[in-house]
Amino acid sequence: MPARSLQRFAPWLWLTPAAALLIPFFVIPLLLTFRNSFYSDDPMGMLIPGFTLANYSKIVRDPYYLGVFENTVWAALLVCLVSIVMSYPLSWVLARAKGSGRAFLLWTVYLPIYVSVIMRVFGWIFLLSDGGLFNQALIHLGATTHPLQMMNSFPGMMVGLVHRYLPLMVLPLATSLRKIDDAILRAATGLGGNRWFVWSRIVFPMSLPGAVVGLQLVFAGVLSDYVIPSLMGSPHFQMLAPAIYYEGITNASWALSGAIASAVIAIVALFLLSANLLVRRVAPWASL
Amino acid sequence: MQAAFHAEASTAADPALSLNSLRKSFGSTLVVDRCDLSLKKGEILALLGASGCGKSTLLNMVAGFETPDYGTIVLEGERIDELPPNRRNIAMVFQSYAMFPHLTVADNIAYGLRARHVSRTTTQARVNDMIHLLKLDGLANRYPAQLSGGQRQRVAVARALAVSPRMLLLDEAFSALDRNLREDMQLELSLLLRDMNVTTILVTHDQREAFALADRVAIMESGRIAQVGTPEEIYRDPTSSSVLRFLGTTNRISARVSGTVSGPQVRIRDRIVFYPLSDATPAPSVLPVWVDIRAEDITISNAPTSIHETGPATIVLRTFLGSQERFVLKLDDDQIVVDRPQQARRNELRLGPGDRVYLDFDPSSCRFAFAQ
Amino acid sequence: MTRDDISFQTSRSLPARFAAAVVVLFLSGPIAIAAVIAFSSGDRLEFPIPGFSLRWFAVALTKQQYIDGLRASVIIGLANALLATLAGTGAAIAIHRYRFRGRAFLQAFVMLPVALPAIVLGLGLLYALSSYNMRPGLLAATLGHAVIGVPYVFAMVSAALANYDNSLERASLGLGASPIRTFLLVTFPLIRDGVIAGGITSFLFSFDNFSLSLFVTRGDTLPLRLMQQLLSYADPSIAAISTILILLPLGGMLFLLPRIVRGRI
Repeated sequence: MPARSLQRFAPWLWLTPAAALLIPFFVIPLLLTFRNSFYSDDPMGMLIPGFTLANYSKIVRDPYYLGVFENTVWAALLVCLVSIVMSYPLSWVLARAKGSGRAFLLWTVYLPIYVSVIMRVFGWIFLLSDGGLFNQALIHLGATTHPLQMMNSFPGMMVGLVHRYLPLMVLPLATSLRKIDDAILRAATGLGGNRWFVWSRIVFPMSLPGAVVGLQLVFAGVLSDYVIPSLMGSPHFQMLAPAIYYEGITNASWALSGAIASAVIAIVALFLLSANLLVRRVAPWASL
Repeated sequence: MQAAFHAEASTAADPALSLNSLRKSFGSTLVVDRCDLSLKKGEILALLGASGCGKSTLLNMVAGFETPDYGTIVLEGERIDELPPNRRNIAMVFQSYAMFPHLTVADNIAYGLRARHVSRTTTQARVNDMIHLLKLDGLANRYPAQLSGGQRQRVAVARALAVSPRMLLLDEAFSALDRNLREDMQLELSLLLRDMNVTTILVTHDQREAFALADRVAIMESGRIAQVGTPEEIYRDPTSSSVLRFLGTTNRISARVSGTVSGPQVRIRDRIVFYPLSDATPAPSVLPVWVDIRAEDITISNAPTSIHETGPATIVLRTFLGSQERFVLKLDDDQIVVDRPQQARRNELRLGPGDRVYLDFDPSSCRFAFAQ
Repeated sequence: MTRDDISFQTSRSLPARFAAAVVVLFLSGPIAIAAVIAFSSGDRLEFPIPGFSLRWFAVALTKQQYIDGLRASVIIGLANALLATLAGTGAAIAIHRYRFRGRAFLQAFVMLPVALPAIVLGLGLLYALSSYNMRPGLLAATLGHAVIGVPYVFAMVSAALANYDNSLERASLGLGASPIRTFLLVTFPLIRDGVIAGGITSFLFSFDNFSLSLFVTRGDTLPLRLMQQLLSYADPSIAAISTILILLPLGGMLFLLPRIVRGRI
């Protein structure tokens, strides 16, 4: 019966648009990246097929590339740490807010995600540059005589990165914290726990699954961020995304940039997987 | 410890808990209106009422989750209404059980002990005792998500009792269970609590639950305590119409009260006529009154009775309820429900739809209310 | 009904609320300041602004590079939102309405573009474009942005599907309606919110996309052009055009946020 066979193929029919989009423009690009990493670049920007591990050994041996990887991973981890500490109070208040208070807080958290990064960087430039607001205020108050270098420096880049990725930490954490309903808090308090005991034994452990999701989002985001390092970063502290752009476009070294990109995928995948395993281990109850 | 108000040294006769003139409003709504209550040590009291009557608020004030606007709470001679909830040593079981999802059964039960910094060995021993007492053997290392509703309730109770609280509070703790499980648990818990001599207040809207567990029942209505007494007292002798209507299946029938030589006389549709004997006898009046009477307090027969001489009612429906037979009768436009125990059936005639019957009841089992 | 508990509920605690307020200020401060500067009447960046004027808006709207960039971004945005919506909705329906082997795997696969660093995808697309004999440009950007948008559409439509009761579909089929009719008249109206939300999200993210556009366009999109401008000379016209652009996420959020608040997304 035609209807029957249609029923069997129905899901695959629904999947056709997604397949038509993702296979040629997602799967193939990734495979090409991986394949290119084993090819070689010739000095004139051509890609030479073959099989070699020279690209990988280059990024592992050359102190420059090694440095870029280290920088980016350290920066990502630092942003993760700062984000999680900063987002706890906000996520907690957001989780327990109701009605119009909740709507207001959600606006303030979602808006930065949807507002252009350019606008945010513009604001930071205005605040942090040598002639900017903070420096003007500091000099005016007599705290310093020369303007402090905040833009185009490591701290400046950190501020920009935290500002960009903080909402991605706040939201999953708030979702986790929201699951801690009033009855649980009352039970925990009624049984004799003081504020610290309730927080450390109940609230914090229950928030871990959400915190881990946030960490994954922030880590992956910082690792591959191009805009903030370019606009607010220090030339002495190179990050991965500008490096990939440089190698891939400016230098047209497709093999090398393929190797760097593949390494980035590996690092992100490793982080995501270990985070999932960590949650499985530390919070087995979350996946029950 | 904060400074506490100590009454004179308590004796065995002093109440374990006394609530004095408690009052609480939320905004402009008065939710608890001058409630006074006292419990003896080891007593189980049920706060029974419809939703919104203020019983949960009252319970929360005892637990410390709400502050009374006025009034005091004294527990074992110590005034506790100004203590925070974690210092009162009162344990509560919530309707949702409030299990800590990230802790095993054993850790859930141990929580209160650990909060009190009890030594590890003592904690371990106590947890094992509670697991055994609440029949949770073998489940110590499970997580709440892996337990059934009934098991979770046991853990909630075990967790509360583990800290040897001065008082136990149950907030609709059985409503999430289905009927059979509920009755089993009620029985088990009532035996356990009496065994351990734990002073308990339970809040419920379910009359059966209240009667099954409690030594005394307090009916709450619109923030006030309408009546307190043993289940039998308040069932047999309700002080008001609303208390009567709250317990059991009741009829509300419109009637008129007229003055006669022998006193006020109640007439239902001019066919049922009697002289009320209860304390709250209504005065003769032009306005109609409600007669409230329980379905099980009415008997029916084929022959005219002392209060129902003419104009029989017609049976419209007969239902078999197991322990009772239920008849729905029509007297003109009034619908009257009569329950008859099953055993009686052997001695009485079978009755069914279409039969015409006469009603009888003891006037003292009626209560009256005024129709607005 | 608000209850005034004894303050064991730490959301009432002052330190938490204070810290939260500081973070809110941190998040919105730079954006607010940039918005104010857009209205400055001065020649350079200064605060407080010397006067209120719309001159920089005029400058921004007449700059050819901005106008071209805006046009490119709008085209790419709309086109990719459409593609992502088609792909994501289809995938969500396939995975949530049918049982077949490999369902879980496919679900993880559809969500994968979110986990992947965009810069890596950009590079990969560059490689792929040459194999397909395509040039960097609007079409390439549309396809790339659509790939990134699919997970968001998928997630939102999945949530809508999870929330709605499929006994409604069964009722429709039981009453004799064909599967196509059922979809159009019953299923789609109910998941419409999720579909639109996904489309809006895909549009907005594409509008702010750098990492991908860097590789698959020649600096055609507005974000790239603005970045170019920031790198060379930062003047209030950047703030002005960004402020205009805020209208886009604001409009989108007016649709999305009430649904988020109500928990429907």
